[in-house]
Amino acid sequence: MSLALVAVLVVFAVSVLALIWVVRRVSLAGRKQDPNPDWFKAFSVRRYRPMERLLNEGDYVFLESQPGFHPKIARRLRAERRTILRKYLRMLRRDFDRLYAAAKLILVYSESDRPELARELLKQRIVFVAMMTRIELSLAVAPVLPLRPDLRPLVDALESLRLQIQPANLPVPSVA
Amino acid sequence: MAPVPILERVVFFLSIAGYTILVLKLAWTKLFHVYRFFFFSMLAQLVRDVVLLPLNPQTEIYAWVWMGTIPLILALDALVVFELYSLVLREYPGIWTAGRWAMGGSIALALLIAGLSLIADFAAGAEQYPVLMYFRIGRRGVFLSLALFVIIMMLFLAWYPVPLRRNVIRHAFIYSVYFLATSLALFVRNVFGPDWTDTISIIIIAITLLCLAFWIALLDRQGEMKIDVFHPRTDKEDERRLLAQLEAINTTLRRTGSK
Repeated sequence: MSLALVAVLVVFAVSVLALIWVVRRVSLAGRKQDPNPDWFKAFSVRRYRPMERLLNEGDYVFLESQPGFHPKIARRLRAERRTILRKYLRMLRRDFDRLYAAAKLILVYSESDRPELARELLKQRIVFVAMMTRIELSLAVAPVLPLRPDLRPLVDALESLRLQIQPANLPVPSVA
Repeated sequence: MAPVPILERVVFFLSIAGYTILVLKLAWTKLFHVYRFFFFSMLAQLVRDVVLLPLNPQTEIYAWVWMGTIPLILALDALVVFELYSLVLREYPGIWTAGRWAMGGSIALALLIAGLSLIADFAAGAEQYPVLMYFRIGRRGVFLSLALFVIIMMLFLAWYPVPLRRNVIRHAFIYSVYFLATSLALFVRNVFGPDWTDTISIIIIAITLLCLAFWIALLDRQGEMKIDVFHPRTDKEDERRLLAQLEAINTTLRRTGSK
């Protein structure tokens, strides 16, 4: 019985800690956001175009046709490109999060009900996370199972989110 | 077991004092205009406890008063929670519908989890007073559902993120701890049997007392000030922006004209 009681107390302690974490997040809500209109004006998905070339098989075909080619060289090149791709993906996720945070701010501070925007944002998040997970899984298994995920839809998702954000609609920081 | 009823009596008196102070504070600070159902919930519990005070807990009349008021108190608890989130969502019309979806989803999820958790209570077996047992199980289910609902809604508000008043954050936190702690205490009573009745009764009153102390100490008028880091772009700002653009065009035209 005492073990069961300890379990109940542990459940309670964990729940309270989780609650404190949630409350902390709510307390900080909005304070870390930085909807800098200049960043949105300057942002372009063009910076991700080179990323799409990283999985191009044509380069390896060309490499194989060269004198002195050894499969080890191609393996090393693939590994290096995967590392670069992971860096691109981290950057892309950061940009997506920034655009997404801005879109949520527009929604929260909108003066009229925007259920369609809320629905669209939720859909975009789900699609983006699913695409990102698929690509990361492909990269993880790439050394044993070479898959070539299509990176284009990921960049398109970012562009579609960017198009929804008009810098003029961003809420204005309140004067302290 | 002899000192338990005396201790129970002491904490019961203290909780009546706590309800009285909280109700007076809510009235004095005029916070009852904002948290109406919370005020009525505290008032109802105060009246109920004052009525129960002269009665012997071993009598039938005590049991009838206690059971008769439970549905009202639980209904008021639920209304307090819905009031809390309606107050928040009303201030942000942009997420009004999204908030209602979240509320609907949270209710369904909270009821599902709480309902599943009650299997353990029912599995503990029959008791001497089945009606009291069903009341306790039902109360535990409602408390756990409300705690889960508050937490899920807080996550929703943090995800957007919606800036909240200090009072709302504190109120939601205290209520969640109250619901969770009471629900777990009732769980222990339901699973481990009648031997635990007195101990759990004291624990529940002590939890109530502690939460009352936090409500009294932490809810105040200043807590109603919203810490909003942003505000919507208004017509005035658009006007200012347009004027700045016109000014820039005029300056360019003047410069071109003077060449």
